Amino acid sequence: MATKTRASSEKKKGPGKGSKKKGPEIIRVPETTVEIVSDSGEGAQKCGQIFGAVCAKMGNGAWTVEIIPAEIQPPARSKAGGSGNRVRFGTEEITNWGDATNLVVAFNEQVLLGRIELGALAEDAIVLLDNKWATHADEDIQKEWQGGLKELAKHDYRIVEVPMEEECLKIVEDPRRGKNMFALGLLAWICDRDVDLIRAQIAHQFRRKGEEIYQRNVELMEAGYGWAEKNLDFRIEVPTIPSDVPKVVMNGNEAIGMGAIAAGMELCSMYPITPATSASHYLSEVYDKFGGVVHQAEDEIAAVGVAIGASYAGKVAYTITSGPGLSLKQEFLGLAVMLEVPLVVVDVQRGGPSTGLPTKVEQSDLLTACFGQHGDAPHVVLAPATMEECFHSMITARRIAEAFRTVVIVLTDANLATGVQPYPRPQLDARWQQAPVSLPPVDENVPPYDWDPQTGLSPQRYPGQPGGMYTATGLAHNAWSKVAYDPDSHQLGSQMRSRKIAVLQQTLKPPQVYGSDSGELLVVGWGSTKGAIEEAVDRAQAEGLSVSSCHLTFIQPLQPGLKEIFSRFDRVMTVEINYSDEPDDPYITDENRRRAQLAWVLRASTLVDVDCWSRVPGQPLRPGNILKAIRQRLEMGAKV
Amino acid sequence: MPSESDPRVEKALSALAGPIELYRSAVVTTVEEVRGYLATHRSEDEASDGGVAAGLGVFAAGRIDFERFANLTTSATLEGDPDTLGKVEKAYDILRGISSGGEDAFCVRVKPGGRLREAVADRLAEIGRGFAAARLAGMARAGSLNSKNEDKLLAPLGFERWNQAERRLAPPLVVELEGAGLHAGDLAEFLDGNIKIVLVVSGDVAPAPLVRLITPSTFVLQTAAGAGLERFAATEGPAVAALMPESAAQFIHDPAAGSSPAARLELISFPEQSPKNAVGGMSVRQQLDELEQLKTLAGGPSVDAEGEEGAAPAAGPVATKVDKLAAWLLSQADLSDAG
Repeated sequence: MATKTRASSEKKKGPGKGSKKKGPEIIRVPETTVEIVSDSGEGAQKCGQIFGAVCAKMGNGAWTVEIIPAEIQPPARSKAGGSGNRVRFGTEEITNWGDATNLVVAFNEQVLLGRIELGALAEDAIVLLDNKWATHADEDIQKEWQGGLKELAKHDYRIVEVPMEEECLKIVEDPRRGKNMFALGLLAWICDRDVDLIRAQIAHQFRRKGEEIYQRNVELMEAGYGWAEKNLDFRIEVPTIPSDVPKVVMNGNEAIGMGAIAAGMELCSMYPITPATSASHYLSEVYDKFGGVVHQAEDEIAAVGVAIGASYAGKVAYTITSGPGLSLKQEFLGLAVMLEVPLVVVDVQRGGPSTGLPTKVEQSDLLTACFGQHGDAPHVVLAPATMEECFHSMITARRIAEAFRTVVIVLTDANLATGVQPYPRPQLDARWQQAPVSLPPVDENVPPYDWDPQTGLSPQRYPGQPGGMYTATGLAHNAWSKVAYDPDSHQLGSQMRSRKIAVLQQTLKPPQVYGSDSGELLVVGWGSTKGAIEEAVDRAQAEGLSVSSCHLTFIQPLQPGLKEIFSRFDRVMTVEINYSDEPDDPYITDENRRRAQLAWVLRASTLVDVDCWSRVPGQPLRPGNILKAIRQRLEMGAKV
Repeated sequence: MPSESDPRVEKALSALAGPIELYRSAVVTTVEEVRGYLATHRSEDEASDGGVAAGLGVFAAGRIDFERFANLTTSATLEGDPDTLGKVEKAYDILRGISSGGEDAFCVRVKPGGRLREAVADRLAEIGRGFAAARLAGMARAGSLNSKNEDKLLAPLGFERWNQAERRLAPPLVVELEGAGLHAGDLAEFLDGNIKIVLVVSGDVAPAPLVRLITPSTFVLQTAAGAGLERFAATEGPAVAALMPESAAQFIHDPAAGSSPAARLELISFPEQSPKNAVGGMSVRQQLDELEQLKTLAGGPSVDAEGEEGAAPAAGPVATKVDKLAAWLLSQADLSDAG
């Protein structure tokens, strides 16, 4: 690609370099959080994605979160319609989106006010705001602008009005198609980002658009860079630590897809659903290079049916969905459990119930993932906590599904799915791959469900094995797969299917405790909240509070030793992104209190009075809010 | 490019791309099946702690007790004895070697003075090693690999020892040879199953040597420019073709075209010149016999060669203009050096 040569030749000069006489103030920080926010369709997300990727590639720790309106095309200049990206980056590893934004580029004052109402901005945030609205032809908009500025003045923000529209019009006729690159240039100069890398990243983003589009976007980015250099009097410096460890940068959905490929799974059968769909987009782009295929079925039910069929035939398949899709698949998941067909189901959780909050994060599918099927359908549920774990969990999930002939549900969420984080490049191992189907003849005197009475495990048979033909059925059956309604057969089948999961539990190790092994409060979490919880625990410990945390990756079966771990703490509390009543809410008693979903599971399985603090804000939890909850619970002082 | 000199070899390989791909697919499938067998039977690897740890991946590290996992789940898998696994691994190596081979594997060159039969037999026997390896793996999978002599199975396996299933899977061969070495009878024993042999002939050659190979179920093609190769490649059953000089007879015998010889045989062109010299031990008389046989098959009743000394034996009345022309040509034949 010509980009690299071109970029290298221009790097020394730099856009607008040398035009400023007085040096800017350098704000040197170990980390900072940047937001780019615009109306939907103005490209702020793309700007943030490029900026986040460049930060990661420069060696910074990074964690990005997409700011996505609930509607596809919300009204312009509306507080609820803000779209963009939030990038937290630092010298060390970044594990969550943090508390508040330090620097924001906003394309209009209304989306900015929307972010402020959500408490997204730090009190001393720096705000770069497009000022085109001050002279807008529509007087109502001018009034809104004036009102917005008054509102902003109530805070301690450092506001810089930027003639983004005016500057972009020098380059493009429609600034809506380019302002994002101008904003990228602003951020590049302020945060001293590598312009070579930015050009390369722009080239990657617009790789299908041709040279002219690439050039125009680079020109806009350079214009933003030059304007900032000429007009701004501050820069933010976040040092990087060079590392020899090669890293990859991707979001959780891409990591899931890549992990599935690494695990040798060749069929992803799914139906598009937010926020899982981008996984299928990624897989569709790359699968043919690895001999796999994405099958887009006519609906969620058909998608899981196809996956079960492929697994039944010998190739462990998977389906990716989100909450509403998981609900639709439940009957077929029961079938897979009954048939003892290995299957991997990825549930990218979003807000619910019903269609709920399609683009927003939540952890409210835990119980339905564990217990959503009718009848007794024991299976496995696990939850990766990072983008890196999204990748690696698929390998483990397939292996467990195969070894235990069961369904493994992998619970991710919208935060993991759309956020980007750098992590060490996986060292691929051929043994991660599923072995090819072997079809040796089988002894006709051995039943198809040749359950080991101790473990419940039995070798899987595949269509085509000489002597191995049997009728697979979702009806209650005996070891010969013959329909059997007699009490003993159903009791035995249920026992064997349950026993397997208990056996898996026996192979698990107790979870690690983050922090001291004992103390006043143990915070228990699962999934994408790990980074925020551990950061909150760090801060609490720095305040002298006796707090530790424990993050669970196996939800069903639970890792062993939990009761013993809990016994070493005065109080145990889960922190989750699903709904729970607060103990002091009206009408709420200890008996009727709705608890967070993991808390319910833990209480049932350990008989420990596990407390919970949970929220459903439609966005990731902030470590600061978790810290407040920790303080509050400790102040309550109740003992387990 | 297997042949540096004759572009017709590339042409033949191109026409045979489909059968080659089918064969390769079969080999690759077998390789995968054997790999699957090994993966599920290597007790010291896959089912061991280390194998389990590797198979479960990084996510499981620190969360799963690999030793316990191996102990509890191994009972549901099959274990193979080391001796058997060793043999299967050898078979696996052979199959992998075959699957990764290039187009050279499908090309043979008969050295001047060499025998067509030996060249083809040797190459097919080498290909047969793959079938032998697959047989051994199959025996292992069936649990019947218990003799001490199975190693011999991994030696080259001559075509005469291929079973019907293997003959149906036979890959195509492109054979370069000089016309003097084209003794069609050398190929007769190999024309079974789904085998396809293309002869790329250079130099002097008899005008219709492949006529001797026409049987009801064998596709036989003589062509100069390659016409008919697509049909040849697509045919089910044994097939032989020769890319010949322009002067040779050109015809297609397609078993699928009809039930009678005349219906199956399409005579595209007939030599303008009668053979005048023996070629590679084939006398003019023999060559004329082949031409006569061709006409007979193509047209039913044969040429009336009355009063013509040395003419091919009559087999019936003249039926067509082509037959009349052929009869005249035969009458002009110089049989003085007939052997």
